[in-house]
Amino acid sequence: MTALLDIQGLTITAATSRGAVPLVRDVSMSLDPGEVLGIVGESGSGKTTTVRSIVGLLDPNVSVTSGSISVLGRTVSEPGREDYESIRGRHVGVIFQGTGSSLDPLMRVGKQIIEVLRRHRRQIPPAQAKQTMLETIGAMGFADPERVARSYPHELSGGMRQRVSIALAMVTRPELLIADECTSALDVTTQKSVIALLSSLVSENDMGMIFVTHDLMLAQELCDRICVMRRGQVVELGTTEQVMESPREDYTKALLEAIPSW
Amino acid sequence: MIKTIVIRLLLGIATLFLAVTVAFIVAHGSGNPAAELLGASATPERVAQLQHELGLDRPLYVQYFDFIGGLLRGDLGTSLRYNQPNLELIMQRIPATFELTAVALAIAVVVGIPLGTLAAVKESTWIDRVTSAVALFGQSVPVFWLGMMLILIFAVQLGWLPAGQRNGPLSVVLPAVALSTLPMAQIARLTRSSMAETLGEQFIVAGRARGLSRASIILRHGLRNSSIPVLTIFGLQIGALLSGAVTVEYVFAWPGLGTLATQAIEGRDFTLAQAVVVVGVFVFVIVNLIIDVLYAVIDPRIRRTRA
Amino acid sequence: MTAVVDSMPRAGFVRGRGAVIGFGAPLVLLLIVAILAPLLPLPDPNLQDLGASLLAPGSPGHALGTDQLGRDILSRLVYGARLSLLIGAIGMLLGAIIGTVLGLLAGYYRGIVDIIVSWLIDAQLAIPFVLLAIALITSNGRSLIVLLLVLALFSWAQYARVIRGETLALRSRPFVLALRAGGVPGYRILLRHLLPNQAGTVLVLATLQMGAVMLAESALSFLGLGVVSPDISWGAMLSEGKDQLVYAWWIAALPGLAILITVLLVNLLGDALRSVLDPRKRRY
Repeated sequence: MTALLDIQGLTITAATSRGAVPLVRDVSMSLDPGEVLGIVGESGSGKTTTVRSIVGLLDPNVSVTSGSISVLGRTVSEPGREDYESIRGRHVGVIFQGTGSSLDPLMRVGKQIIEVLRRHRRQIPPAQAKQTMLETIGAMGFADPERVARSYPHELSGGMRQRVSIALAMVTRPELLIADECTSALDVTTQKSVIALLSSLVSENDMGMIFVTHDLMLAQELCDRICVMRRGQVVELGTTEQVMESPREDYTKALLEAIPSW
Repeated sequence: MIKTIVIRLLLGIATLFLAVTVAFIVAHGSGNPAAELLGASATPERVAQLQHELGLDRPLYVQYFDFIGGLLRGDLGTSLRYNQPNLELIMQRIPATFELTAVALAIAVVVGIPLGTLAAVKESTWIDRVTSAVALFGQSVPVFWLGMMLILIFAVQLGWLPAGQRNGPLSVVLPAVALSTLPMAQIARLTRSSMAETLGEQFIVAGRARGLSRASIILRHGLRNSSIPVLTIFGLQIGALLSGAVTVEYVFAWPGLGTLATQAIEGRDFTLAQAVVVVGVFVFVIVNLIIDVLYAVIDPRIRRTRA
Repeated sequence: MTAVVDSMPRAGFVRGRGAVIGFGAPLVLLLIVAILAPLLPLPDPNLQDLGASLLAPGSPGHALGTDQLGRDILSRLVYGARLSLLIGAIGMLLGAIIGTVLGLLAGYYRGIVDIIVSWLIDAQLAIPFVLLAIALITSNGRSLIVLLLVLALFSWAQYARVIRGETLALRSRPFVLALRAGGVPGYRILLRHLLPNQAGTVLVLATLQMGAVMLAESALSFLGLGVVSPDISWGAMLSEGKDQLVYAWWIAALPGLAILITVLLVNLLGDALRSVLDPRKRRY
């Protein structure tokens, strides 16, 4: 069985006025369908840079200088070669941080979803596109998909907007989902429901998901495996049980100790 | 949304009111229009007689009420030089000026927005620098001089385009190009900075992640989101555009409002001058009202609340 | 013909102190030449010589040619610089003073003062300045005072808007609140604290407006509403050149070029000053 995602020896460097600065060093990890991998670390640990590189959303002065990334057996990135067009949106969906600022404020939400759908299924007839769009919104737990589809982003609450963002990622039925700190800006209750939604989506659709967070507790709830990153390198990688109960590295131990126990 | 429009309408009327009052004070209420009309050789008695004929010896507030009353009735006074109602004279000339400014604005938009967009997308490349240079030029050049140079090159030397007068569709090209330089410069600059800001927003990056092409993101999401500041400046610059039109019309002998205004100078026709100012202000207010409505059309958030 | 000053960052050319000197030096040179004009070996700019009329540039004795009355163009350009620069400067200063004062008052005292000033700003923007000039001239006749008045009216609103905004923002800063709590009178706070704080902004605005005012003066003089014979300004020269365009292009081309280059330099200087004085707006 091909791994859904395979990252080998990834090194990402930024070209700054002070010379080349490595952001991510020799990072390796893989993901199979149906798995949820959590990437945990502080800000600056390189976790966001790593997942951004999977879809090629790095800043212009930042590039992959060694190693490789492959999705569904296809190489999408290695030094000197990039092929993101084939996976963006279709095989990989990304959910961003924030409360829905990944939505165009001037366009109705349903229209934005249809736009993404049509990009990947060009021949789809309008009626079916609308149907699929409504079904996707419904699958996000909305009771009235029609009303949501007609709404503008500012007419929805923060939690609702994040669900819409998830719908935008899910509408093309990607095999891999990347959730980049997508619950950080939400209040605890909304956070819980979004996580529950993600969890059910992953199991129902046999998808793989990478869940990036700085919150170890959240990772524990949701993830099968956890990868701990620090200063651009992987310091711990194993099943959730392993990492939480018998961590190898001091850093991980320190993180665990920092969690308030009730 | 209706509420927003009504408020804007009231504010527009208040501005209109103040501006036409200024027009009145300037043309009617200051200096000695009758003396100007007759020239330096006129005797004081002749001046006083003309003042009386024109009603200029009445108290200022009486004249003012007359003026406002006339405006409300659509009466902008009578031209002293042509002995015709000013409104009539103006209405005859408006189509020409409208044609000129409309074409000029069209050029400014068709060139300025793509240029500004390209400059924002390809920041710090040669396109960006060229756009900056073009914008700088547009804000530094005397528009009427540019018109003259265009005549020299394209009409006199090359003989490609007519040098003036309003006959035939090609005759609007040179004057419109000249007039378009300043608005084009501003539109390009503003589109560039506004678009650059918009392109940094998260929903643009998210669009890329979802597989949308750069072009469709810019066209479907970028343009709309960056258009508000451009519209604002656009509205504010109508006054400058009309001023530019006056000089350009003069250079190209274009039979519009501008040439009418310059003719008012020669005859010291202060009622006509006053009427033209009123019309100019009116156009400004109307255009800005339209823009206010456009804001609400473009940005649904504005339809809800208005600070 | 307004140079609208927006505070958004833009890509530009050279930045920094070097640019300020680079663009400022030629302008200072121009200024010196203009001031020293009577001392330079130039023919009388108003001296007519009908036998030598319409000579092209490069003709013996007339480096830049002559106009239809035989007057030397180079000399007229140099003398024309004096009024063009002077009127531009005074018009700009008047606008700056009025605009800054009103902007400060509106931003600081707010309330009815702000409402009135904002209303005036809106009204001023609504009136095309050329049309206003025409109205003024028809009733007051043409004079230097009328010209300066029009130019001041033309430019003050730009200052007022920006200064008002900045004053509004500054007035609720801790240091201002402390001063007010301490009983310092308003006018003092404005003069001693708020105005110096915004000196940089005013300077940048003034430089950029200088170009706009020069363009406005040239338009007015071109239409016969500003400087007229025997006074010389570049704009007035343009109106003389208009009718000679086909056979004596230099009469119109050269003064316009002078305006273009000068305003270009002034605008570049303004941009460079902006980058030096306001670190927030620096891009490179």
